[in-house]
Amino acid sequence: MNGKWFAALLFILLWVCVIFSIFSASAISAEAGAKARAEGRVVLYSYPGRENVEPVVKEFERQHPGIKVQVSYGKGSQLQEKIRSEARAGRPMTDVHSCGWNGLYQFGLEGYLEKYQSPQQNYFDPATVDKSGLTLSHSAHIYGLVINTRWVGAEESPRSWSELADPKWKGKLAIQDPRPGGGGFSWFVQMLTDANLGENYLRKMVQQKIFFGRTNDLVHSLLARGEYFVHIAGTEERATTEAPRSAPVKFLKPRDGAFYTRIGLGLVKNAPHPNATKLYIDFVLSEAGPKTVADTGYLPLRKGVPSVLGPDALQGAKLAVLQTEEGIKREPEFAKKLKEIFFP
Amino acid sequence: MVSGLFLVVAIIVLYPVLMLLYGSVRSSAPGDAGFFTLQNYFDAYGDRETYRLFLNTFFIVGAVTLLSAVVAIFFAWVVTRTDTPYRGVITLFMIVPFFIPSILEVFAWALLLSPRTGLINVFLSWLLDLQEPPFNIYSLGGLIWTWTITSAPTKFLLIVGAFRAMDSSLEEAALTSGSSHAGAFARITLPLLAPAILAASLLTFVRGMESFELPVILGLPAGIFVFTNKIYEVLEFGFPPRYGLATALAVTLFLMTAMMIFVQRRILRERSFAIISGKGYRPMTISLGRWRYVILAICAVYFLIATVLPLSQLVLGSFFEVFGIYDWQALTLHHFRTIFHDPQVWQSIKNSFLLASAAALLTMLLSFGVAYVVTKTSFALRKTLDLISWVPWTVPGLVLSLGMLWAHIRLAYPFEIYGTLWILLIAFITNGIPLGVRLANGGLAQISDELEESAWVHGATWICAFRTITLKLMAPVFFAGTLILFVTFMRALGPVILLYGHGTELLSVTIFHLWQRGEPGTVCALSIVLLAIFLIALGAARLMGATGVHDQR
Repeated sequence: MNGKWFAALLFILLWVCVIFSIFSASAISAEAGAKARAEGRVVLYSYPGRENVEPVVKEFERQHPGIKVQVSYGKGSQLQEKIRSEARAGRPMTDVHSCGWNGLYQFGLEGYLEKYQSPQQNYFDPATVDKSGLTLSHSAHIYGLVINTRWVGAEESPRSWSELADPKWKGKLAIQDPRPGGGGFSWFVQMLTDANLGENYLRKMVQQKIFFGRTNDLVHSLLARGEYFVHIAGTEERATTEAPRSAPVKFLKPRDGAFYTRIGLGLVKNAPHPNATKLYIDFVLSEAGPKTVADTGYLPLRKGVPSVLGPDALQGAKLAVLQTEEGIKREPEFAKKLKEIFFP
Repeated sequence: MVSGLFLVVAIIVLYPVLMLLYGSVRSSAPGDAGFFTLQNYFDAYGDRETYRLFLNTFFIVGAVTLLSAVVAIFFAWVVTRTDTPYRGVITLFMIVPFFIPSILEVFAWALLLSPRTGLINVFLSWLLDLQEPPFNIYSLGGLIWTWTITSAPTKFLLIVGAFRAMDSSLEEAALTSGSSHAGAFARITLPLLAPAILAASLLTFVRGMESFELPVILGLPAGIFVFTNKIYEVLEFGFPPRYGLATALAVTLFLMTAMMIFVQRRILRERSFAIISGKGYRPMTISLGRWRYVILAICAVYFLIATVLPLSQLVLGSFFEVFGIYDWQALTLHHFRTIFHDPQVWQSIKNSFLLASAAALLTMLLSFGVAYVVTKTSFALRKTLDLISWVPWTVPGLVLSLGMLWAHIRLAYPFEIYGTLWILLIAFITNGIPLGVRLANGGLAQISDELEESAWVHGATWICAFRTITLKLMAPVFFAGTLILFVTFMRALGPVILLYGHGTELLSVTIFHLWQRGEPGTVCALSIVLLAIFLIALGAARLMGATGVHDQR
């Protein structure tokens, strides 16, 4: 057999393989799709609010008629306790849980999440992909200072975290309660581990009589209506794309370091609708998903999807310490310090 | 059949209580493997905070009991013993807030007295040119104020009957002997009505200790803790939730409440209520002269502050984009659109209706069964049954919720009811039995045994006599009881806060979560919808004479 014949045979073989794999893939996909449709629904417990989730759900339901996504909103820790209770009762009701990456990852380590590698993850920066397969990050949001412009003029606006320790802000600052985790705790850890700020700064902040709200959304709402002047660790999307027209709020990136956290999804162990859920997760990570998420103000982590906050939105912002392996390891130590400083 | 009823009541009432006690000596969360320990009690009683909880609970609830008694006595006196104009309207205005879910009033006050944006603070700061807002709802004063305003109508309802029924001949004798109106009120009226006032005060004190919504919504942000919001905090803010400590605190609260109710029953048993004599009497009306208009003005101002202002705040808040920014450009129907398009809200409205109706009906059926057995039969365990039906009265809603969680989280097939509407149904029935039995007892006590006996003498079977006499005579009481329980269950939050699951959220839970998520506009819009439902229910009740409002007038 000469070289020409060999090449032709190889080409035909390759071609057959390609055709076969395409057919089998589509057959598998069709089978998965049929199973997902048979399941008919996905139950999502979500920390991201209605503004961020509803557009994605609508788009998913439009593309996958016959599958409904039912969402329960709440605080990450609160939703996780619900999932734990469901598991203890032997009645799992949740399919997928969405919250900040570190909370989600730890929840996965507790054994409440199923490993799932979505094919869509190939389109993400490997640095943002959880190798354990427990979590799937799709977007991020930046934490900084959100001010009420009715109370705080452009000239007197704080430009850094350190300025907030000035006595003139006493009684005018609000933050999400850091005790159950979330943005408030991320801020605490960020400040504690900052070489220039650290524990001394946090002890000064205790004197500022900061208001601790149960959720980030609640604190933002109190800020928007003018109850407080500055929302510490407020998020950019809440102050820009999601804020009503009449809300006098503005996001500021602190000079001494804004930070961002990743938001992820986790497939719940023994999910009642696993196929429909995988379809939903794939959709959220696919090109259409991040685009819809990006329109709500979140920063898409998928390559090539632009953010409405601009291409430089993440510039100058650091990944939250709590979302690093080191941060996760040291979390009990941080929690102890938090109690010692703010809740003795 | 009677034994079956005894068994059902005993199981639904005692099982969660026993499981609560069991949970307080377990090392784990409900449903998890663990071991027996007293560590939870060591944690609770080894912490100075717990002793502060005792002090706070007694001080705050005591202050609220006292202040609401002052308000209730004043209004009861005005509508029963004076010639103040529009007494019927005053009575109605005092009763209507009873039917408004207190959670809505609390939200309204939280908005009205917000330090920097509350309408009252903004107005007073503008009027008096103040630099700092005069009021802060998230303070001890704010908490006591709102609690007093929301509990005064209940207290009024509890004592106005005694005021109305009191024989005034003693007051007349005092006046004839030269005493002033104030002197007669202080030396005759008040001492005579003391047992009724004491009974109502003890009841409101116990209800105050059990209150959940108010301490959570206003107390938590202010860092003011009583038992209920501390238990909730330990579960919600504990990371992970500290079920053992929460259960030990819950058992403590349960024992405190039980003790108070025991004291209440002892006091009431030993006191005489002989203020209504057998001879004919007419209630004396004091002529206030010009002062009657002053009294009318005081009443009007009170209603304006206690009822009109909060309701107006809810309406106003529902039509503006951002609460507190009352710019005409920001007028919107967005919040109403949100609730009408949110499937979760609709699901919770449906769940609440279904559950409150079913639970109210089943509770009244069960309660009538219990009351009938206790009052009309010679069943050997009838006194025990009566006592068991009292037990949930001593279990605060949140504590019951925790007990139900311990009791039902790990039941085997076919009793796996955690996360379903069934567990909420059982929680409501357990919670409602004491009230249902008391109402049914009251109704049955009015029906003489001779009526049924005469039917038997004339050849009627027991079933026939029961159906044609007792059931027919009890129908209005049954309807009134069902309606009162329906309203109670529609607004209940404490008994279900730890039990709902995905798809079984109730309206009260949804409103509470919307508030926590910082959506006051949506909360206001949903409150309007809920208020409309309550007003329709109240209207229906008035049409059928079920609330007693007509009689009170």
